[in-house]
Amino acid sequence: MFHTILLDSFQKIQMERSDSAIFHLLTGKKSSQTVQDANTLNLKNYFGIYKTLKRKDFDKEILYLMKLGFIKSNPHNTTFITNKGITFLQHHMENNKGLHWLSGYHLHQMAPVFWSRIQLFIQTASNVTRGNNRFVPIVDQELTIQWMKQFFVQYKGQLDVIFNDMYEELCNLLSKQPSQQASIFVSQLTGFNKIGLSKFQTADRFQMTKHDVEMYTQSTLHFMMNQIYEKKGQYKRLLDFIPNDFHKLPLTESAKQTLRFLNSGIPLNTIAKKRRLKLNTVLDHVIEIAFVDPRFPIRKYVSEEVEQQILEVTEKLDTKRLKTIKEHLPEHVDYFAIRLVHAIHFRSSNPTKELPTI
Amino acid sequence: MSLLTQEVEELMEKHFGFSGFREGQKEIISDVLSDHDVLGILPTGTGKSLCYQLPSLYLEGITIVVSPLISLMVDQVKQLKAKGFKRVTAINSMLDFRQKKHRINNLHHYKLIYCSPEMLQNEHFMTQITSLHISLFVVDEAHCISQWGHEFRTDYLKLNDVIKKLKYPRVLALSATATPQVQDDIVKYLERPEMKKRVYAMDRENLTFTVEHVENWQEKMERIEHILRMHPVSTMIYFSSREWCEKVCFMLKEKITNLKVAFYHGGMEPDDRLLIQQQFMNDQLDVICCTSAFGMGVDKPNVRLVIHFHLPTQKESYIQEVGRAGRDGDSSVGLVLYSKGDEQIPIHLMELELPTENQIKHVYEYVNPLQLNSIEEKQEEIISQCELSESQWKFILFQMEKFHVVQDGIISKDKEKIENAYRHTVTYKQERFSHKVQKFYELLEWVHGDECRRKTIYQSFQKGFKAPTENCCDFCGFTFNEWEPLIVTRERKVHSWMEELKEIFHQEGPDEKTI
Repeated sequence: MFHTILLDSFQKIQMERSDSAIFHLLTGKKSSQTVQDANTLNLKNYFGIYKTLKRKDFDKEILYLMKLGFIKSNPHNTTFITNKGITFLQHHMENNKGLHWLSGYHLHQMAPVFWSRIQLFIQTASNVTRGNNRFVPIVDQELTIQWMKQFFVQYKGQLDVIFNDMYEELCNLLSKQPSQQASIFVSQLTGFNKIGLSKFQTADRFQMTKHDVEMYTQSTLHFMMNQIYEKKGQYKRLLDFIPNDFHKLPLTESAKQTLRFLNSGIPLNTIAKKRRLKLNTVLDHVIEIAFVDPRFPIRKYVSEEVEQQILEVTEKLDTKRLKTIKEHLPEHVDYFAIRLVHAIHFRSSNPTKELPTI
Repeated sequence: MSLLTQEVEELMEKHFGFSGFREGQKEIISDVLSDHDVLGILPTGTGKSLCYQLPSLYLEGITIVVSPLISLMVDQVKQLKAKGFKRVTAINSMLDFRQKKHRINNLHHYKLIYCSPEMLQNEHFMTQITSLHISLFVVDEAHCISQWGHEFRTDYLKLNDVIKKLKYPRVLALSATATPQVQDDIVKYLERPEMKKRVYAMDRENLTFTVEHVENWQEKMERIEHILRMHPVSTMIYFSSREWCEKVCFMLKEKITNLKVAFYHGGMEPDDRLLIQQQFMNDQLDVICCTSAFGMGVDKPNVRLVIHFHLPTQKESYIQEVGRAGRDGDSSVGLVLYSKGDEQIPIHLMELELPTENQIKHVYEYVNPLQLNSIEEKQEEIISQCELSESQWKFILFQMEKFHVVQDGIISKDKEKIENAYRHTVTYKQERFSHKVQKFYELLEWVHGDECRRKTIYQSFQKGFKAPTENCCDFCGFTFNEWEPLIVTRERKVHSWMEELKEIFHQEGPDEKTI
C-alpha cells in the first residue's frame, strides 16, 4: 500500500518537485510549501499520514521503486513515474479500498490521538473488567493517560456498558472493511492477557512491510473517524474518543500567530518587525492561510487585473512552475502574487469541506 | 520492633500483593527503617528495589533513587504505577523542557523520585530538593562508584557532595555484583563509614552452567536449533550487536516454526520495545533474541534457558544476564556458545568506550589557555572535532576536573597544570583499558577452564556456594539430553479478527452477537 501511495504522489507532482517534497508531505511538515503542495497538487489526503517515517526508510523505498523500474530520475533531480509504474498504480488504486479512505489533511493531527485513546481504553477496560488492576499500559503519552482518567471519572460505574457498546461499534465499523485490513487493526490491540503485536510483527504476520501496516492502520482510523462523524447517532461511544478541535484551521503555530495579527489589521511589515521574523516568512504564512481560509481577503494583496493575468498565463503554459510563469508576466508581478493566486484557485476542486464541530 | 515488622508486612501485602520476603529484604528494610545507612549486595532477581520502595511508603518525607540508566528508571516507574503506586516519578534528560520544569516544580507531590546522577548536578533541581525533606537517599547500581566495578560512572563520585547538601539523609547503596574491593570503595566514596554491610551470596542453586566450544557461528545456530527442538522452553539469547540479534532471529523463525521468536534491542522504537517485553512476560513469545539492553527490570519468573551467542565483557555481566533464568526456583540452564575468535568483539567494544590517546591529545590541545575561557562554549566543537562519543568526552572531562584544569567550568591558564593533567589522563586511560581487558580475560579463562563452572564463576565474589539443587555444570555431568525442564504450553491458534476482538472484549459464546 505504501508503494502505491508513493507512486500516486509521484504521478501527481509530475516532476515539479524533488523527492523531499513527498517526504515532507507524508510526514506532514508544517511549512507553507508543503501545505501548498498538498492543496494544488491534489495530494491533501496523504498530508501527514506518516509522521514517524524516517528519511532513511523513505530513501530506501524510493530506491526500491527505482529498482523495480516503477520510477526513474531525470537530470533535473526530479523523479517521474514510468509506464510500468502507472500500470502498477492503476491496478492497486482500483483494488485497494483503504487508499480512498485516507483524509490526511483534516485528520492527521487527530488520528494518532484517537488511536492512542482507543488502545489505552481497550487495554484498561479489558483488564479491569477481568478484575486485574495491575498491568503496564502500552500507551505512555501523558495527555492520553490524563484524558482517560477524566473519562473514567465521567462514566464511573458505566464501564461495562461502555465497553460493550464499544465492541458493537468497532465490530460494525470493521465489518465494512476488507477482512485483512480489519485484521491488521485488531492484531495490534492489547487486552487482558493478550499483548498486541508491534508494527513489525504485524507486518510479518501479513507478509507486508511495516510501512504498509502503518498506512492500513491510518486508513482504518480515518475511515472510522469519518464514519463516526457522518453517522453520529450510530457511534456515540466512539465519538467521545475523537479529540474535539476538529474545526480549527490546519495551520502551523507560527502562521496562526500571524493570522491573529492580520485579523487586528496590522500591516505585514510591522508583523515581521514585531515578531522578529523575515518578511518572507510572514508572506509564507499569508499563503499558508490563503490555502485553508475560505474567507481569505485576496483583494488586499492582488488586484483583479493581476489575478486574471496570472490565471491566464498559468493555463496557457499548463504548468505550476513559478519561475516559468513569472517569466511570462509583467515585471511588477512578484512571486508572492502568483503564489497567492494559486493558493486561492487551486485550493482544491471542491472547497474545503466544512467539518462539523462537537 | 515487632510492631514495625508487622506494619511493614501489611504494607507489603497491600502494595505488592505478596507477604513473604526474599532473602535479605527484611533485614535491609528493617535496618533502613531503624535509621541505619546500609550497603546491600543482593543477587539479581531477589527484588533489590523492594528494599527502598517499601520504606518509601513508610517513611515521612521523600525517597530519592539515583539510577544510572534512563530505561531502567522508566521501567521501574511504570511497574510501580501498575501496582497502584501513584506518587512516583522519574526526572531525567529525556524529558522535554516543559515536562521537566513541571515535574521539578512539583517535586513535593511525590514520595519516590528516580533521577540520574547528572540531574543531581542540575542547580535548579538541587535547589528544589534541598528545600524538601529527604528521608532516604538510595544509590542503585552502586558499583558504578568504583573504578573497579564493572561499570564506572564519574558522576557517581559526586554523590558524597549531594548527600552533604541534603543534610545527611539515611543512605542505602545497592548492587547485585560487587567484589569486596568494590564494596570498600562504595563506603569510602560515599563517605558513610558507619554503613552496615548486608552482603548476600549471589550463587543460585537452581542454575546449571554449561559452555560449548564450536567451530563457527553456523554451528552455534545448529546447536540452538537442536536444543530448542528438544526443549521448547522460555529462552533468552544474548548477542553483542543489533545486527546479529536480528539476523539470528530471522533464521530461527524460519527454522523453528512451532516457537514464537522475536528480537529486542536498543535501536527499536520505545513503543515496540514495550510490546515485545510485555509479550515475553506474558508467554506470548518463547524465544527472545536480544542485546544487553533487554533484561533490566524484566522479572519473568519462568525463563528456563539463557544462551550467550556472544561473550559479555566480564563475569559480572554474565552473572547478571544468566541470573534472569529460573527466578521461580525451577531448574534452568545458562549456555555459553564459544568459537575461536569470539574475543575480538568484546575487546573492540571496550576500546570504543574509552578515548584513544590521539583523541586525548587533541582535546588537551584545544584547551589552550590563551584561546578559551569557559569549557561549555567549546564543548560541542571539541566533541565533534575530536569525534568523541559521550562516554569518551565524559572520561576526559572528569580527568580535567580532577586535576583542576577545569574548575566550575572555567579553564585554568596554568600550562604546567594542563600538561600534568594530560599525562595523568593518558596513564589513567591505559590503566582503565588494561583493567577492562583483565576483567574480560577472567571471563575468558572461565570459558576455557577445566574445573567445575559453578565454583569458578563465583569464586572472585564470595567464599563457597550452596549445593546445587539441579545438575551443577557440564564438568559435573550435565547434558541437555537428560535435562527435564518445566515447559509452559500456550494454545496458539490464529484467529479471525472477529474472534480476536471478541476475546479482547470478553464477548463469550458463539454468535451471541450478530453483526
